[in-house]
Amino acid sequence: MKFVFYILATWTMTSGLLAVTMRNMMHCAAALIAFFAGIAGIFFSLHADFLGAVQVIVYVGAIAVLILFAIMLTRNLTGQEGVSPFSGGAAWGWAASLAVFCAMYYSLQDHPRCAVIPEASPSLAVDEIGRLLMTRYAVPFEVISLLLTAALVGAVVLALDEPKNKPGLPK
Amino acid sequence: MYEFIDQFFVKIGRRILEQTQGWDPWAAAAVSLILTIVPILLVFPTIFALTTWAERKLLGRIQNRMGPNRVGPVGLFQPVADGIKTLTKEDIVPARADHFVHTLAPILTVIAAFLALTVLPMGRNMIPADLHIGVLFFFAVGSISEVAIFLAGWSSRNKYSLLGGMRAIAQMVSYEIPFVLSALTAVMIVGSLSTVKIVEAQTLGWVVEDPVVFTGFGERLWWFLERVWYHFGNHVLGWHVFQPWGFFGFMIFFIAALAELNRSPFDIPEAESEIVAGHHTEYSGFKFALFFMAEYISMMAICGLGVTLFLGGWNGPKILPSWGWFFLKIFVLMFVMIWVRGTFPRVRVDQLMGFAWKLLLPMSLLNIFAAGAWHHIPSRPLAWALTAVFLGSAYQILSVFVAGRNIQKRMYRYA
Repeated sequence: MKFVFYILATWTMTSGLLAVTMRNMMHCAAALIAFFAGIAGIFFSLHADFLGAVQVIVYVGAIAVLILFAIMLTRNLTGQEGVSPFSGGAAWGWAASLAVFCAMYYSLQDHPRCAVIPEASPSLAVDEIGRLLMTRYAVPFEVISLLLTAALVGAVVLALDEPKNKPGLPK
Repeated sequence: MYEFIDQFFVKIGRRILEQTQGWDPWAAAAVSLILTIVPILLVFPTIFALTTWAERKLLGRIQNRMGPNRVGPVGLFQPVADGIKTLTKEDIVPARADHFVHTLAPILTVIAAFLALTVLPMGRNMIPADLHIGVLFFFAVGSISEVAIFLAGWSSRNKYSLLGGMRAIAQMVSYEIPFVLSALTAVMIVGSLSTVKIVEAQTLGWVVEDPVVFTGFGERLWWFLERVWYHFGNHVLGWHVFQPWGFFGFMIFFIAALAELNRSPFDIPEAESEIVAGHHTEYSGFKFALFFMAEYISMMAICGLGVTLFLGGWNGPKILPSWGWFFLKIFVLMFVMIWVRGTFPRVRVDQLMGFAWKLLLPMSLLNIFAAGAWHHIPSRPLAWALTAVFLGSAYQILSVFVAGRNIQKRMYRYA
């Protein structure tokens, strides 16, 4: 099992690094998709099948497609005009990410939950997740969906910014 | 005898697995993997070859011509000739195309199509991979093929390819919502995401009491007819499609499946008269063959999911083995798809989007309510009547007042 984890971890890390360092935006998006697939693979290897499948559906099927759309609508489609991924403040970014990494590493290092790796981890059944979302986590769940709806309405408002009754358009 | 034929392939598989008892666990695992993969790779490409032939023959029949009839008896070896032709053709890649992504896209689509087949129960005890989230896995894999089609359109560096890819993505994203929501009803009613459990739930638990003493021929005949009817009821009337929510769910599923597959009448991503061939304009030779195969394999997979969710899977009267029923139902659905292709004109983009968002989406949402009502109303006839009236009137109202609002009487003017 460790072997599988190391393969998946290498895959995920490599594609994640490629996603932020490559110059062609389309290639970055493709690497990001590979990264999401690697995360899904880690879920599958931890016997969290449901989360793995949802990861693929939501991130590969929806978010990645959204990103592809965004690239197509905002940049030149060919994606050839590469810009350097490193801006002037790159050093600050490196420092911040290093700090976040150190903080996470030291806080998780001795955490009791990380120390124990059960032999056969109990797979959280789908109906159990559903029940928790409907009872204990109902309020956060609803708040998040409200947020998404607000974002959707905002996007529609932004997109509707054009004058009505355009001449020459068939009704 | 029936049991023998029904479980023939399962038993062969078990017999081979028994031989690997004392082996190295890795070798045994490899054998069981090969036993799962090889039948899929043998059966479905063969059906794919026959489907291409059948589709051309049927379209020919619909259009009052012969169809392929030169190679072999009634043109049966046409797929072989086509295969040799595509394999020996030159692989042309546009000079400014993105070579890596251009090669990756057809491979990804084929992988996604074959992976989708693995969660379909093809007969009693015959399923390549019995995942407890089978239905979800199917949709997850389907979303990979969407990305692959877009990558194909983008990497070709051709405006027609790119337009085709964009159209395909827009269409698949819009139709995925009613597609998934209609499948959700079956999952709700059965209470499981496992395809095996969904199929097993589609039988009725009717039992016949055998009379102790037969008094005469009439009673014997009556008993026999009753047994036949109970058998039919057990194995046919339990299919989800015979319940109102299942019927509407299946209809929405099938229409959305046509759009997901980019098949006629929703084939605007590859509309020949507008954008040459859409995302596979710049593909030739073997890569094109891969796209072609992926399209047909996913057609089989989606038909298989429709059969599993709504048409009872491998359930059927015991005149055919369970795998026989499964493949027969798939063939019937594929025949309907070919028939639709031969008879319906292509829709416009605005009609396509309006249909998805104004009719299919609200219908599938209402269908979820109907399925919930079906689950909670204890009396079956009452539930049947209530959900049928609810869904029927909802369909009437939606199709007339929402989706059909802008449809005016057509006026023809001759120049």
